[in-house]
Amino acid sequence: MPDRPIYVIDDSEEVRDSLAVLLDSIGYRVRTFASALDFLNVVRPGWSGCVIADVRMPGMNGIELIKELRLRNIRLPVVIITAHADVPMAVAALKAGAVDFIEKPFRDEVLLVGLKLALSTPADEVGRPGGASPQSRLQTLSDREREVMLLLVAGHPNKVVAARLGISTRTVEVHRAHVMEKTGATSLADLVRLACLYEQAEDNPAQDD
Amino acid sequence: MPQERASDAIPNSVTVLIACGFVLLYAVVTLAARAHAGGVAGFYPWDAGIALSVALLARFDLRWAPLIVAASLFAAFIREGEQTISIVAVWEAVSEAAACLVAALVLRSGRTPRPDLKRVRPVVRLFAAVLLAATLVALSTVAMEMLFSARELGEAFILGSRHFLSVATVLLLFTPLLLVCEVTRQEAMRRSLISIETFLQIVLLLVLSWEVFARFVNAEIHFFYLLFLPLGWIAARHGQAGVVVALAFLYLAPLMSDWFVPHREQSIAELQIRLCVLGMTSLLIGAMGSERRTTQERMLARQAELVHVQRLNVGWEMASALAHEINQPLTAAMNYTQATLRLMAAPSPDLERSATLMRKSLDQIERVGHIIHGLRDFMNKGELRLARTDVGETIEDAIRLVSAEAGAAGVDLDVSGFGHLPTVMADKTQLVQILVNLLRNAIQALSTSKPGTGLVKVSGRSRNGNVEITVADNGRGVAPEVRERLFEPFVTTKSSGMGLGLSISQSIAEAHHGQLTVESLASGGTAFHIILPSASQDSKDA
Repeated sequence: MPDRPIYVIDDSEEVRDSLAVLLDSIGYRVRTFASALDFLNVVRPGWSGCVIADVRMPGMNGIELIKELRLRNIRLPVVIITAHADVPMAVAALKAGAVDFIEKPFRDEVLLVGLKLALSTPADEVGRPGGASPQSRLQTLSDREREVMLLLVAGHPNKVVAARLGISTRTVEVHRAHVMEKTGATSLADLVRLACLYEQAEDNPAQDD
Repeated sequence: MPQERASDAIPNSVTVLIACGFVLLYAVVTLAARAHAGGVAGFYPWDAGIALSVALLARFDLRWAPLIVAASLFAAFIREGEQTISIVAVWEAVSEAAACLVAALVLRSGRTPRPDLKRVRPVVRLFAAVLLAATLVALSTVAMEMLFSARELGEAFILGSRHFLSVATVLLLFTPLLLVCEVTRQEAMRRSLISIETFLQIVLLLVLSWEVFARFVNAEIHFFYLLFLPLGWIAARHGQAGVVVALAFLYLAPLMSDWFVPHREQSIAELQIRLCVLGMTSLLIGAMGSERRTTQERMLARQAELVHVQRLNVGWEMASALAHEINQPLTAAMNYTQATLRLMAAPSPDLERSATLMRKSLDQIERVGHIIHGLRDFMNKGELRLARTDVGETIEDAIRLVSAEAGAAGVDLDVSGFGHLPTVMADKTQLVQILVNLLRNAIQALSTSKPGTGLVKVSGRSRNGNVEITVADNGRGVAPEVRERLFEPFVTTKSSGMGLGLSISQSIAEAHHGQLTVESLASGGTAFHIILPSASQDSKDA
């Protein structure tokens, strides 16, 4: 697996360099680029491997890069890393088709999980919004849990969720824990990915039937 | 015992101390007034016992009133050497306590339980209290003289008016100091009183008092008006705190000078009328002076607070951009460290490479420290602290704080010309604040322009003993009608924001004896110039 190269795109030189060193120590082949445009200048359809891209970059940001790759029919899986993550950004990234969404700074295990997921995604699956997580987990949620999840995913803090649903903050916390447990989500980003899938299913009920 | 019930506010031992101290002091003051025992038997024109009593009730508790009766009787007992307490002494004691109660009630009716003589309204309330107490004592005297001494109404009335004058004088001159003595002491501690001016004021007061109360007391009463001079001076310079001390001195001066040059009864009455007028005038002027000074101090404090709050505000606004800025080196440091761990875990670790990576990691962590340090300094509260400040370093600090925002907005920052500038006398934090305000304004104005085209130039030059820092952008500029009002508070072209940044920046520049000006550039952008005087005039212009 490590024979396929990783393309690191980040405007911050120290992040780029350190990531290259880290991935190199793990055994990956790494190429670095200072901007999305630099990468687009050299990338060709048919390239294999995986892209790690920052979101906030001058010129073109990471999410725009995913869309551009899609337009050019380049099926490289993309892992997004960002220094200031928020829920709307995570939603945008995962909807655009990012495989994973990782907050800086991160433990290498987390990055490796994302990379493995990306590299194991079959080429024709790349770019499918929400990545490759199973959808059935969401079916086990109760109605109230689903409501709590959707509000959380929309970026509302527990307090607001409680006020919206007319329940106590404590109850929201319990629901939230249940949601995380039932879906197996380890982070909010994880949950967002699942929610994207859920929304997709809601949008096209025919597909679900 | 009423004084014991009063102890729910004051500890018991202190209560006893106050009670004993009061009775003793009352006796001392009463005995001192005995030095002048002229005309009428039992009337002592400088007896300040009632001033103590009013202060006691006004400051501590109205329930102390019975103690006044006791103190008055005790004083009468030692003064007259009477074996049995006469009905006259009881009458006098009770009527004095009643007058004090009324006066204290008036004094305590304000918003604060203890009258704050630094404001005009409580001073006026003091006048009312004095008037009421003096009238009550006078009426009681008239009644007493007619009842017990069987005097004619006219004669009794004259005695009553003498009592009125005496009470009004001691209350106006002596009570204020007793009411505000600890405030006065604090003020004296806070401002160094050992100045040539204070010394001159004391000398003038002493000399004039000697002339008025001793040398010419029975001959040239109109010399009295000279005393308005030192009192006005003291009121202007030291406010109410100085006035109350001077008035207490003016109470003591005639009392003491009577030992050297015995005063005639007529002179005493004339002096007391004038002392009342002087006392009222000085207290009013003192209150107005203190009020004005308090207002000024409050305005200065508000200004300093506003500057700090704006800085905090900007700091929090920048925090999200800075979190990004901090996360980058943190990510790099973590990556290097984790890579090193993996290298070390290999069968034959490459120690040299590991060390290099660790050093890189260290550099990144140090960078995080710098950023946090800069932000903490920036948000720190502090008074204006002028010190020799390197302009280049100041610019660097400001740039470090805004570079994240500039990066996100795709705006380039160009800094030049700070190598050979003289230092300026400035508060670095506040200077950084102006620069951050100007830089962020420029960045935000350029954020709507095409990415990669926005440029903010920061340049410095030295000219005519001044250092001029220019922050120029290549944006669309400012409309002329907005430019005229740009430095006014609450004028803003941004959709969010209070419009205080430039107004505060200008007030900071002015506090540094400098200027903040705006210029529309021919190329279309806007330039702000901060002009500050160089720290050393002898450093030659570059």
